[in-house]
Amino acid sequence: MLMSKRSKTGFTLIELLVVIAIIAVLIALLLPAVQQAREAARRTQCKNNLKQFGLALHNYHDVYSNFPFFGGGTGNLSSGGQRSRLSGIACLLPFVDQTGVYQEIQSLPGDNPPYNNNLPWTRVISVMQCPSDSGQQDPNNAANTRGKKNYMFCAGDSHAGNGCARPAFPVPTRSRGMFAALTCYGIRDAQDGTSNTIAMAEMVAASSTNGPGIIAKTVLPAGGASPAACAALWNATTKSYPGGAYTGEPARAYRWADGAGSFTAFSTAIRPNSASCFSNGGGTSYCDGIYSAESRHSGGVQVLMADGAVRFVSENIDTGNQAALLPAVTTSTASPYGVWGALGTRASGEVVGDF
Amino acid sequence: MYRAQAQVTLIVVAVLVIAGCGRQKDRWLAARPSTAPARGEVTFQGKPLEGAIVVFQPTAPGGIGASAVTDVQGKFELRTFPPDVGAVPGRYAVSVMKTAMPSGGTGGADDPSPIQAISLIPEKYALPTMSDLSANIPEEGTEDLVFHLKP
Repeated sequence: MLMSKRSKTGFTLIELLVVIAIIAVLIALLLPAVQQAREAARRTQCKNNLKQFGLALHNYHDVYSNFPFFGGGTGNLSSGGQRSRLSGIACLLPFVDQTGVYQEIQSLPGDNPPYNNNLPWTRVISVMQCPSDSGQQDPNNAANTRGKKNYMFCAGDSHAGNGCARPAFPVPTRSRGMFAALTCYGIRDAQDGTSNTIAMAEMVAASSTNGPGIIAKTVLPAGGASPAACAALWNATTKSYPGGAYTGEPARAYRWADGAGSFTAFSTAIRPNSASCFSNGGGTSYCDGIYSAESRHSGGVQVLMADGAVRFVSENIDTGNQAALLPAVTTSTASPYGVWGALGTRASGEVVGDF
Repeated sequence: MYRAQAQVTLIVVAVLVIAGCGRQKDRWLAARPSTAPARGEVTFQGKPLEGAIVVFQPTAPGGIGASAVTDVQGKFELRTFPPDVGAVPGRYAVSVMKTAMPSGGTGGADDPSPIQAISLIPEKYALPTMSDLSANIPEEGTEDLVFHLKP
């Protein structure tokens, strides 16, 4: 009797409150999911750009029978030109619908290195921008900002760089990876198989003076350089260098056309989303370093394999013995740095499992 | 009766939420070896050495090394998988390095002549094969990995 009467008069206050509480809980669950969907969309856009570079690399290979260098170009310090410091990404411009910018570079007069503050070096090219990365200008000095890029080349699992002797005269260097300075490798050099070799990955445009996208101030001595020594300088929780960051030149991502190692290459020696250090005793941007692959995505970094596949690699990936000294770039011994190191080398004969 | 239904609904929702939010363990993390806490101290000429990089290089093949930076008191705590602390128990050769850029040599100009870092302690300590420093980390961990460096 009582029950039927209550059902006629509608809901009690308690019932209403319970329903409202349940709806509130559901909305609270849904809101972060909406934010995640936005980041997922940005990440997909980011991945698509990487895929475009994969297609560009293969079209480039069809035309020239090899991939480009990561850094090279015309001239040297005394003869001018590009001072042999053009990024390999400039070579790919005609293959990503940017023939105009490519012709702009070709028509530049005289001494005009890719870090000058003029067109086309200051252009912001959309296919080089990862939407997850909101960095706009160099945090140390906004006037140093040139066009930003979020993608770079893999120089193996050792020092990535041009060698410190570079400015006097260009010296072709070798690498254990798919790309080197002034040296071009092709698919024939990927003896580990193109599906087991990384070609490119993401880089972060720094938004603070001491954080992701910045290099450590402390220089590792030539003999003792190892990824573990570099990682010791990095606080993985706060994502910064307690001992200070390198401020001598712009943060890594703010010079799209600069072919110096720190601006356009990385090595798979150190864990992704980790520290970057100068590794060969020299402390300037064109010297050798352990430069890490970094992204703003949580949990890892997207990489482009040499066969054109784009993969997401966890930042917890097996990195082997990080305390092992960096292998010489002229060798082709198995990588000491686990699965991540093996993916970076092109001809070291490691067996790479699922990753 | 309504109240009982509402309670059941709430409990079911709560269980689903808790189950859905449970973190899955990364298979890479699951494959990592277990570590033991390892702390120590580095001195140079009898004084604590601050800001030096300490690298533990495993002597057995297949081992995983660890590293740390010393604090103001010369103390360090090893990390194998940063940010987690600890080192894999075993025998290690140890190297210590501390460098600085020569005064005024912090870079800045484009295409400068190469600037080389200088070592503030004897360079032999940077090489695990030359440093003559070794350590053993027992299963239960250790706090007295002390190294006295000489000029």
